[in-house]
Amino acid sequence: MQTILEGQYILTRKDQSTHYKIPFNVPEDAKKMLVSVAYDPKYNYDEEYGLDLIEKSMLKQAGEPLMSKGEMRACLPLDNHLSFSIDSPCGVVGTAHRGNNVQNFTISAESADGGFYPTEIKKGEWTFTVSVTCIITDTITVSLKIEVEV
Amino acid sequence: MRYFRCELHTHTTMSDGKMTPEELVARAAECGYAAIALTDHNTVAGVERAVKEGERLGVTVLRGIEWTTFWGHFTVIGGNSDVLWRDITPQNVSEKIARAQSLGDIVAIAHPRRMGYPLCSGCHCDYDIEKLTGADNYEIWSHYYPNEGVAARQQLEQWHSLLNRGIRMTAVYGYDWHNRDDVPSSYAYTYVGADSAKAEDIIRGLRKGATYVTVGVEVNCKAVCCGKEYQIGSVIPSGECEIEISCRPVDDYRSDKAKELTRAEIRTENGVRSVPIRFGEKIMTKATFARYCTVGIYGERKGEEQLLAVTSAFYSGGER
Repeated sequence: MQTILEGQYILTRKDQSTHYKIPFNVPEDAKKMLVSVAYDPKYNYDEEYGLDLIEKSMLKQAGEPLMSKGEMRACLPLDNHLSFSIDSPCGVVGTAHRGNNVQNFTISAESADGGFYPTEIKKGEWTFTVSVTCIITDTITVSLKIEVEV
Repeated sequence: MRYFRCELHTHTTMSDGKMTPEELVARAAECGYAAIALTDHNTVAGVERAVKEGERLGVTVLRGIEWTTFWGHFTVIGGNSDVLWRDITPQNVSEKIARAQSLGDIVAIAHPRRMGYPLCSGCHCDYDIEKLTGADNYEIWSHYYPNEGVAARQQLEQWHSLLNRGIRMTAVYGYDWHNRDDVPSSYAYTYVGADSAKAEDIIRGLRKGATYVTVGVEVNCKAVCCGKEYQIGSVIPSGECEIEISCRPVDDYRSDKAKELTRAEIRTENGVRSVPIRFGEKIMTKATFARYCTVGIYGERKGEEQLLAVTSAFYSGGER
């Protein structure tokens, strides 16, 4: 395996509802791509902050209470949610949208998993996109490692 | 034409669902669905596997995706769209909907009044509703306890408000099916009127607006005008008709069942009128409308009167 990208990326609250793009280059003759991505923290355990944010958001969105304090408490702890997409020089390779903060994907011309499509691992500039669906902590650190099998 | 039990909003392990595409289809077969749409979040990676399993098990699988954007979700059914979810913004959303439709897909506004950030970011529709009036379908009911709670009421109110303005949007339910749900909480069905359960016929039925949503009540509803019968979703030229309604319980509905019906609510842009109805009884009632007419079926469930079924509209004036 050959590591072609390894890095950490810091997201802040300002990144809410944005797509953070990380370009990377794939060498010639790659047959398979392995992507390991993790982010931290997943949860915000501040109960007072969580209840206050739920209540304010609920009233802003619905204009009236949607749930009781007890039901709001049952939603805690609040969690961060990121989605991951990959684009090759030929177009969309897919999107992984799920709650886990540690995810691994394998992509090749024959098969792929986790929401991605079987794709030839062509030489050129690819893009890994982090879509910030929900950030409820001051920062999120994203650790990304991309390897290829030649 | 008959009405087929459908589920138009489902997920698999290709996004955040707990079932593989094959497991979802097998479960749909067990639950008596004629057709489901696979609408994973922002990916169609599981669609062909589901279609293949559906062919094996006799369940139609409609190709679909759920555009899961930061400002709202849309189920897009048909498998033709080339719109990339990341490109959709509050500014261009109406063009993206129109683009998907121009390629043959059907677009539904998903769970628009569900709580969004910070519990389910993007689940609440933050788009300007004026930008979404071109959508085909509106999820008036969603997920568990679909006919109960504030979100269900607000969705129904918003849909009625759109109909009152002459905006024609078909009512659908979205189970938003993520888990196997062996003992499901309260849930609903979308029934789609079609010539067969083939994908092209179900899509044609959706496009015609021939649907109703229900928590365990089968509804037979048509309009009769000048000796001619019109299905739900039809345009009735004169806007004057007799609405024929009869209902029966869904035998295999697995959640709380309605004990008895209480009334049918005929809603038009002119107001609301109730007519008594019981299970097994056929009623005929007059309706006059210039824009739309929908039927709501009420009955006793969980010890209270609840709205048990809602039809999409009959329309008057113009074409669909």
